[in-house]
Amino acid sequence: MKYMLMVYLDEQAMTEAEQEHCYVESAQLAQDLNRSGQYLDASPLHPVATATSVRVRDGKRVVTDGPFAETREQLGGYYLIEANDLDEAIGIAERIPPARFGTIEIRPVMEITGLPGDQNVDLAAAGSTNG
Amino acid sequence: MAIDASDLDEATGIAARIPSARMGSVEVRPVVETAAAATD
Repeated sequence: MKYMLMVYLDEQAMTEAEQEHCYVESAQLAQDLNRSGQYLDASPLHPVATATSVRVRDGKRVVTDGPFAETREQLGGYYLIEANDLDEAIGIAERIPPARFGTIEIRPVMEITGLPGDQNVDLAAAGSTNG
Repeated sequence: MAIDASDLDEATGIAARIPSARMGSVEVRPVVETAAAATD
């Protein structure tokens, strides 16, 4: 069974140094899970201030800055996409069927090092097993 | 984080190891596996 683990926290609760440390620890966990065959994907998100919400109503795109905040709707799924910029991401978001009755929240993914699939880390790991 | 676990117990065990679980919370949700999903 696949599971999505969603992290909720007070963005202001950590100092920058604590946050950096958290990324290192998280990458280590991801590596451990990858070794045990339990890892699928992980990334921190940029702060919620960078969020954009997309809805399609009557065939028209409605874009608002900021996070999705409707307590009568719940998180129903996710897409992880590659886009050149926010405009391209919005264009994709409006094609997601639930955009017509719900909301698609767009959040830029933070690229951190050390996660499984990070070529530098994978090469280093391969090097250490070979030599 | 998206993970593969045999059951909810295993999934919550992994959730507890996420650093942010110590200051925030980690919600665990099973993913629906559909034949139509491109991810399979």
